Amino acid sequence: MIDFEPKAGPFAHTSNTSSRIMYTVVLTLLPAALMGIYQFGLASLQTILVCSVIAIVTEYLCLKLMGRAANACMDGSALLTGLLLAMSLPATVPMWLAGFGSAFAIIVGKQIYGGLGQNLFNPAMLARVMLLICFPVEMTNWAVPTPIDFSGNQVAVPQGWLQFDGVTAATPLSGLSHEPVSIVAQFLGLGGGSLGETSALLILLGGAVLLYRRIIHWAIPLSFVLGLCVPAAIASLIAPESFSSPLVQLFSGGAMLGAFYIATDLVTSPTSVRGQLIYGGACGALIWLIRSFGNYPEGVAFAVLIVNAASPLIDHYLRPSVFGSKSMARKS
Amino acid sequence: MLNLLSRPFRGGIHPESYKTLTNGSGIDRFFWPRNVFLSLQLRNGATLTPLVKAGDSVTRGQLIASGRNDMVAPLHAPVNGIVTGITPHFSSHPSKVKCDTIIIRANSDRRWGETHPQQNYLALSSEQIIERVREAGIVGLGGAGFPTVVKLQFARKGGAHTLVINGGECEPYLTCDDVAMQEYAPEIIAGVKLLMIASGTKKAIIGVEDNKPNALAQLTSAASEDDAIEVRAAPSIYPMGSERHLIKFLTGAEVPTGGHAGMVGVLVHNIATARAVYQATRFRRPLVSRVITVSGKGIGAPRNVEVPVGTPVNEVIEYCGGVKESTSRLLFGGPMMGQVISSPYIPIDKTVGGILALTDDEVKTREQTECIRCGQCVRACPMGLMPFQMAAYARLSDFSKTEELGVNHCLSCGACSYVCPASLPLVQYFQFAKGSINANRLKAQRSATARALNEERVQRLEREAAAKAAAKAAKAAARKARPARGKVKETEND
Amino acid sequence: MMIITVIFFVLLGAVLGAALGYASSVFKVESNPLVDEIEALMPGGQCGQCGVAGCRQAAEAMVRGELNPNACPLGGQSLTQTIADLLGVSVEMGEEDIQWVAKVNEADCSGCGRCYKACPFDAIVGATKQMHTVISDVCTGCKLCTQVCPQDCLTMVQVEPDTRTWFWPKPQQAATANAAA
Repeated sequence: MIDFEPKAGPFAHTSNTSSRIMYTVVLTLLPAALMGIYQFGLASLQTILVCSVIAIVTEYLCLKLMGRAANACMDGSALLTGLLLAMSLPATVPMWLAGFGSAFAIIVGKQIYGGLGQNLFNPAMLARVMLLICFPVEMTNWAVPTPIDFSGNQVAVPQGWLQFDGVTAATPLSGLSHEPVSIVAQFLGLGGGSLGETSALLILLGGAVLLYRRIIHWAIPLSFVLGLCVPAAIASLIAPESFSSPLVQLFSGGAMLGAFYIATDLVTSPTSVRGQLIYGGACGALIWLIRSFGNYPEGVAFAVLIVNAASPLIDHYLRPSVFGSKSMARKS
Repeated sequence: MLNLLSRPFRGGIHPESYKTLTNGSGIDRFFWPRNVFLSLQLRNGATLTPLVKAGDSVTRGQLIASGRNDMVAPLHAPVNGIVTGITPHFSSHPSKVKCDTIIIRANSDRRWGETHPQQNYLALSSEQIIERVREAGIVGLGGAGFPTVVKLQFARKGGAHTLVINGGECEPYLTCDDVAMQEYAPEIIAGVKLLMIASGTKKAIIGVEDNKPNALAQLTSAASEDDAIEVRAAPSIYPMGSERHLIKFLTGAEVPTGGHAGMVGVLVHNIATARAVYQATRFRRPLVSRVITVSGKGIGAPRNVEVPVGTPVNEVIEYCGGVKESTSRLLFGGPMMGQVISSPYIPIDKTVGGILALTDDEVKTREQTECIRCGQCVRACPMGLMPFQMAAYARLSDFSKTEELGVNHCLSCGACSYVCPASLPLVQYFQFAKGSINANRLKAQRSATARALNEERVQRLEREAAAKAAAKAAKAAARKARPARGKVKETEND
Repeated sequence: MMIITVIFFVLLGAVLGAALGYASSVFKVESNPLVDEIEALMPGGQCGQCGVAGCRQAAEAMVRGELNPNACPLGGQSLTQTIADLLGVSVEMGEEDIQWVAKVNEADCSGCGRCYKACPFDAIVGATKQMHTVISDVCTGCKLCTQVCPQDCLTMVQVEPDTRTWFWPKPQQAATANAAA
């Protein structure tokens, strides 16, 4: 059937879709998530599943309530939000807390702004910060990595689905100056921490795929890493006893996840390259400041939310220069 | 990454080119139409006055309609035949608006009516060449359709120093310039020389995308004798064929925003235009036919065909093996900036470079979703605009904001819509915004005219009232002077 | 200390209040400059289609907030936008901006000449006892002529878009957004 109705072009299109972008990001996150499951046991699988399912169900209910096409809940964005939240939680959080956080992320973090593409803040980080402030005890109950022993003798066995009695300890960040952690171990992901944040290597690999597929742009990860490492390097050179080295900063906590997956969130980051450089740099520097001088040991979520708020402003003031505007300025 | 650094300008995309459908075989010169339809209104609204009437017989190349000034190129009969009528008919405009059209029934005689070959054409003066171009009704064949004579005169006045010949042809599918360069390289080079004489430019650069190696080789060898003409390969990136971007790549100069090529001393003409100038000068043949690409997966036998101007789409498609069942869109021009053919009876005008029959598989129409601010459009825009923001404001009908963001600098190249993962009709939002801004401007003009007329009228009425009062006063004075007579007259009048 | 603070603020209030009162009487504006500015933008036909007697009165009503900035059909969207910007209000834009013009039905025209006397824009030409015609490029569509024609031979017609004035319509919005609206 030939369609003669006038329509403006173009009549060619990439095969890329928003949904494909979302699912690609989810896929590249899976290795790090699997690492989390391996390290912290089946409880982490439980957390991941609860967060993802609750996110999708909440999204479905919200879309229904607002009278929108409810099948959009499967576009991958809700799943991604749930997964990112799960990965930033301690592996041993109670299920009700994970589910509550996930629903909060979708409702308050995304849908009240008008749904996909409208939210100001990263929903997963908003939920994480809310949980951290409301439930500080549960949120800082870090499980010591007790890898699944495939011979069947697990050390930390979840005792029933709702009670997990893992061994807990401080995260490397909260005890930075006391017991130095091997950087290599952290890079590989053998240290403690949140469920999916431990293995810098796997996150880096996932991020490389995203860069290669042009889903994220190099500007944010690069400036993020520089923003975090440059002040850290200077400070640790001046006072090595009170500041940790840039590599420790980079490979511990949520820094790598933040650089490749959270700060680069498409909806809440600026769109121009110049804007992204400033945004990423500010985010990295803020993380270092919060970690070094703040009350909380980890600053990724706070830093991301702060720069998210600045993102519209950055987009407004740092537009790309229009073709020919420079030569026009020279003329006049 | 490397790819990114070597880009000739910021932005741009690499769509699948589909050029192999038609670039292998030569130009098919055997097509001849049954009827031709020559619209008397151009796309910009300017009209032509017909010089023939129904029943007249016309010869190929005969002048049949003329415009008011140089901005409206004259029309010549593209075929020998009989004028069957001058009636409203579809024009190649997306709106389905009909306008007066000369319809000629063609006979099978393909000879030119009268042509005067010009020996030693390179010795002609600038004025003489410009005059031939004017007579021949040549317009830019790249798509914009701007009269060539106006551009030449403008370049002469503005003192342009470089002639850029656009062989970019960055639109997917289209290969008509490519095959023309392969087959008519000497004619094109001769046309370039004529254009240089006519415009007074000292140097010519022919820019050809590097995905046309044969065309490059042919042109290079044809131009090898002339040092003033340089043939250069340009990287294949859409929209390399955009005037501004080609100039930037070839000369390094950036045309100022909102300005034109003349401001950097450059004059740009298309490959096919150069050949038309040669034909007009050498043989005094007006522009009555052009090479177009008939392609797409929906076409039976894709090829490049030389068609007389005014041929309706259905005749050309029929000649090229018809369209397949799976065809979903017919287009004039390439898929990026082309226009929907809204009826198969629309004639081809001088600016049409191709007819495409695209299948669903190629168009990839999808349900639009919400913008996720991914910034792909911002990075793809060759003009450095922020398409997603402009579209958001256009959606709210906030045109002042849309204009502030630079919608009027948008080329409508479609790179943003091409990359958009949410399948937003970005280009249509911009077309809508540009149209609305223009309509508002026209409305404001109308208001201003009305206001001026009203003020004039009020003053006129005052003047008339004052004149009346003065006349009355004069009369009264006269009555006072001669009371008796005046009184008699007044009673008589009553 | 307490007393000093109280006295200070009382005095400050008194001084500022006096200054404001003085300023309001000294810098008093006889006519609101906004009204003049808006009136200058209007077509000036005094056609009364906005429901107010004349353009000046309409401008006054708009400044007072009693009349919507989009009340003037002759000015269309561009005028509405300009006035709304001047007044600093936001206004709902209609999607369609139709241009109406008067058209003389030649068969019925008696050549009475009332219509061209009524036209505030001199957009109708003709002579007494001869047919009149409307210059449609100038006609604003104010309808004043239709009210005076004894033959009822003046009708208002929409200007059909031609290739100069046609432009792309606004795209249909996404299905999800439509459902929400």
